[in-house]
Amino acid sequence: VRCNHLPFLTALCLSQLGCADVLFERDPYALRGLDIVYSSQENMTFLVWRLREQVDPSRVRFELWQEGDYRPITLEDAPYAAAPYKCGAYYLCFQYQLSGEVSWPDGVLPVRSIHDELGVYGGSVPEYRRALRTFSAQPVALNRNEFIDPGRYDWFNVEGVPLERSYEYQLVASSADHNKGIPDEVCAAPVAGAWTTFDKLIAPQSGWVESPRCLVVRPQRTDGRSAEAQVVRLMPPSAELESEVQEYLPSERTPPPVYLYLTDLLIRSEERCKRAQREIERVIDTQMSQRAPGARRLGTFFPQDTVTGETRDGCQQASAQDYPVNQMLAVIKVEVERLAPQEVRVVVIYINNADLPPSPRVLTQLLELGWGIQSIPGARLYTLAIGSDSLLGLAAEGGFEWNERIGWRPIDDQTFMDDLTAWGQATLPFRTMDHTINTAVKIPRPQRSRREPLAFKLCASSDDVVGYQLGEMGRRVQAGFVFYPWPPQDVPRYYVAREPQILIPNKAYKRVKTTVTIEVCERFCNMPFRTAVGEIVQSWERDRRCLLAEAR
Amino acid sequence: MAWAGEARAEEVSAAEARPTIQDRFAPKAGLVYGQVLGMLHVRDDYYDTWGVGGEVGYFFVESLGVDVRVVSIQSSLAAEAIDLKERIGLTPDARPQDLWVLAGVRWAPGYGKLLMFGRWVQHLDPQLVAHGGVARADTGWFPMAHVAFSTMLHFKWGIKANIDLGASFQWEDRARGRVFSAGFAPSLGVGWGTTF
Repeated sequence: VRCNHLPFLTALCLSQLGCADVLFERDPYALRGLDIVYSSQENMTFLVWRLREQVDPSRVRFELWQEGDYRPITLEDAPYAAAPYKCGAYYLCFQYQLSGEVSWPDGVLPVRSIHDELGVYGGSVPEYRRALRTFSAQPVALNRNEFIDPGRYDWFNVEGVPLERSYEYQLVASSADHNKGIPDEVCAAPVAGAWTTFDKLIAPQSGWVESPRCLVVRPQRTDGRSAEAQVVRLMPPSAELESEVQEYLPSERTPPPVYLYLTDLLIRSEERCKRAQREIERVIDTQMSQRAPGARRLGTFFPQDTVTGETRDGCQQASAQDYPVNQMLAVIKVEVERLAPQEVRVVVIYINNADLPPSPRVLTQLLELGWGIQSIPGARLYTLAIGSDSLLGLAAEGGFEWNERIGWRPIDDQTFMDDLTAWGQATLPFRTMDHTINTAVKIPRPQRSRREPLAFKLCASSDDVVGYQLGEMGRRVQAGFVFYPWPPQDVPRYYVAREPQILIPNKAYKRVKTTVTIEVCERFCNMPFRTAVGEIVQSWERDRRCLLAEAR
Repeated sequence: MAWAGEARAEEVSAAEARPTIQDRFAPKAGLVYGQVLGMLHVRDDYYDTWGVGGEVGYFFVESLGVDVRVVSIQSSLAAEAIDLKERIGLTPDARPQDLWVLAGVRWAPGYGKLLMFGRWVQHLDPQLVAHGGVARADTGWFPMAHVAFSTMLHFKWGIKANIDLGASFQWEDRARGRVFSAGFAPSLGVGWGTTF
């Protein structure tokens, strides 16, 4: 702060009003951050400098100290010319290059800027650096050889020097096999005029993998001349892989059941009793026909008088009565044998509304019926009890287990019918899982694969997978990250251990998927491959991992 | 003795012989005036700054008026700052200004006249001036104030001149934030006015 011009101003300063309060700062048009880099590889001196981003580049020109004085330079004439470009958060960058190694005397600013109105600006002290190698390449093919990542190493980028320039490439023939030989010895010379510019990835012409190739990369000069420095690398194709998660859900069958009613009611009104029987049977018959097509009703069975042998009407429950167990078993056996060889669910529906424990005689007959059904080959018993809660509980104590129980309510109670319907929905149809330990599950080619695989790896599978087999007649192999040859004209298989599910009620049936993740190699299986995380694996065959599947 | 007294009377100067009671030569109530002005802005910011502009004003009553002033500013770096700029690229963080737009009041508490060189009478007003407004630099607009001790000189045919001894107060937006600065801003204006 200076306050010495006039007494008046001094008085202002002394009265704490302050003056201009000036600090000096780098002018937006003054050079800052001048990087001077000599590249031995390119035998060229690179100059990069910055102005603040708010400058108008059309109003500024630059002079270079040459032969003892500042002389104007034209940035467009540089070997690697670039329009002013934004660099960093607040700057505009400019660049210029000189052939060979150039240095300047101490105390001389190599470059200065000149604003067309505000005049000459000096700049900050330059930073000199030397680099043996300023660009290189480590190419790898990607995405089934549709692209090549040249793996370009850029010294300027690594060192934070914002140089702007493009690169160009050629794929030339190699006299050695894929990925074999020393580049300088086996790679053909690039052809003038056959260079192609690339940005980050190279998109070569399809079919380039059919013969051994080398990749030549060099910077693209803007002055019409050819860059002398170039890098030559072997360009092997990449392993062409495909992976897939395959699911297996065993198929299921719904064999039709057979069913019969055992009616043992105690209702004084015959009309009301018959109505109750009709309503219950109507609802269950409807569920059977709708949800288990082909279900066969074997009839309604009533107790018989123990003395006369007459069949009762099922409405006047008595202590001395017998069910025609043998007759019922005979009917069931005929029907089960008719449906052989498939197994048949035999549904016994016992209807008893009395709020009394069933007689030991009836319990014994029910047990006989159950044992009899289970002794029929192919028959599987299912029991449904419709009755009072106390009766049903006591029946269980007598040694007879109900598969399902529905409490008795007045026949006019809609919830009673609703419960019968709900039973039908939860139970019907009975489902059988179509799977055994010997069921061979095929591993087809992944859907996205383009040609017959050469080899595959078993990457992951559910715990219930117990073994793999190479083709229908192939040997059994273990899961693990090793590769196996893909069976010619066939597919691999695997086997799954599952708890059998035979004639299981609808809602109790369990559907469990088995998953197997495979990775197939279609070509170039011993060539390099870059994983999704950027790791370059030199050979898919020699690496135990699944390289694609792991990224999923 | 009588001869001596006559002699003294003959020695009374022409000035003393002028009338001492006179109507105001340039009443300002209802005065509308305009002027062009030149200005310096001195605040030790390493810039040489001057400006030209215009001002129009109106006096409601004899002692109070308002005016609007627009000044185009020219700033150039001082020699020592140019040396720094060309050697290492440093320039003051106070950016050169190019325009002031001000409006304010003029308070004229008095009126006077001076006998100049014993030959003519100069009529004048001492005035206090206060302006508020904005200034423009390449960083944008920022607020400023301007106060001055001013003398308005009145000539024949409505011609007027203003001599302002002013001070500027500015709040500039710079890279380090808003910075207060003050400066000396004398100006000289010449114009014409008439009363309605």
